[in-house]
Amino acid sequence: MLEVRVCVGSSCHIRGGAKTLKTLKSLIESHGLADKVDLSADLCLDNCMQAPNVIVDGAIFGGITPDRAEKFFTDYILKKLQ
Amino acid sequence: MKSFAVDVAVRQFSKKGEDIYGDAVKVSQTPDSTIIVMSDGLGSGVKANVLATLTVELASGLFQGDLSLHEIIETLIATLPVCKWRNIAYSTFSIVRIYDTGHVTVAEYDSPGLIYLREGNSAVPISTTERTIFDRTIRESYFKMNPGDMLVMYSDGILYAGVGEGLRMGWQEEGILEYVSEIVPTLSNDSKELADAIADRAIGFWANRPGDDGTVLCAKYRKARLATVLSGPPMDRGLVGRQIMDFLASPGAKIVCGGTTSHLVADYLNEELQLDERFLDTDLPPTGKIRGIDLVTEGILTLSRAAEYLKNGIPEDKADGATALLDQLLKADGIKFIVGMARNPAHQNTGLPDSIFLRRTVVEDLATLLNDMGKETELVYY
Repeated sequence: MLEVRVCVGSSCHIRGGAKTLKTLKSLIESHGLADKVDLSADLCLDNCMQAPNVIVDGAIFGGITPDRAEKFFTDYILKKLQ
Repeated sequence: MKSFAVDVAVRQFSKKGEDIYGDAVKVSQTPDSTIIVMSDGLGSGVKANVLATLTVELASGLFQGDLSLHEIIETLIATLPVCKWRNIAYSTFSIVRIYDTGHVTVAEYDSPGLIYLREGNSAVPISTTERTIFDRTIRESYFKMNPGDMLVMYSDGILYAGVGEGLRMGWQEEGILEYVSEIVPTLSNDSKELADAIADRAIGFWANRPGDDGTVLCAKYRKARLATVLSGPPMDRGLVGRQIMDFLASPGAKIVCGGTTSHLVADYLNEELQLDERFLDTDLPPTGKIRGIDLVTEGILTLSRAAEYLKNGIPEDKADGATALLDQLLKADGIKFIVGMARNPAHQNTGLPDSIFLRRTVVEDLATLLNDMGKETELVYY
């Protein structure tokens, strides 16, 4: 199971963290990966300067704005699952 | 912060044909007591209302200074107008001061005596002494209330309810006392319920056409509901432990507002911080859960929104982190805010006004609004 955590705390929320979370959720579902990816939200990932932040399997990625979420999903999450 | 609170319920009615009440009530707070002043102005309608309002405002104002009850009454009597023709005062008053400890001092001038009810029991007689101040007789009493006990005050529109409508002498003290003793065991010890029951019965005696204006006030002394809000890490990170210990040791509901802060608390308690799914689809960050903590929310945005809701009203269809926070805060009589002064550099250049990211400003704004609603607030900074 791949653990993906999306920050929706103050800084990430203002920069679109909640939308990033929604986009990743629908991409995971449309790719039929719900049983392979454990997606959750977090109130702070302690990396506010790079908001919005996403953690994949312990590694933190900053600047995952909603418009970059799909590319991040294909380039990183999908690859990680292969 | 007071450990006890007083629930005051007032029910008034005007004389038939009049639109405004001739009695006035004012409840105010000092750091260690709740002060209730009730006054009945001579006559009814506008003139009576002005006189009664003048009396309660003056008396309540005097309590804010450092004067004894005796000095306050002297000043009141010397200041209030007297009807030259009839040589009687234009207004009567009852002043009740309930200290946080439960001690009560009462001073009554020409108004019906109050009723003291012990929780679940009938009325307890109060011994009174009389004192003459500037030729006026003041009835004074001192006693101690226990949590759950109630006081009932009423004006003479209640005392003489029914005069001219079948009760030759009116309801009278004995009648009121008998009714209160009878009805209290059937009610849930709620001040509003009792005030309504007494006023409704009086209006019934007046056959729905009151011959005088009437006021009933019920005041219940009870344990205060307290809440403590922790928001923001301290300016000096070395003080995290002390700040959290201060938070956990504070009485009442525990509320954490802040992403970083909630992680610090969860780590300190060695508990998991979980996201609460309820408000995921709102325009505010969601709330969280930590075992042992009553509510966990995001910080600055949720706090600002809560203040905005208090100013403009909560939209009916809203349920988000800020409404959850207000649910907790509005239940409380006293709220302590423990504010961490660390600034999050990421909050700059967001396109939003910088001021909303000054945690101190946001929390103080919210505290002032809660204060205006009669809640006691305390701010502690780290």
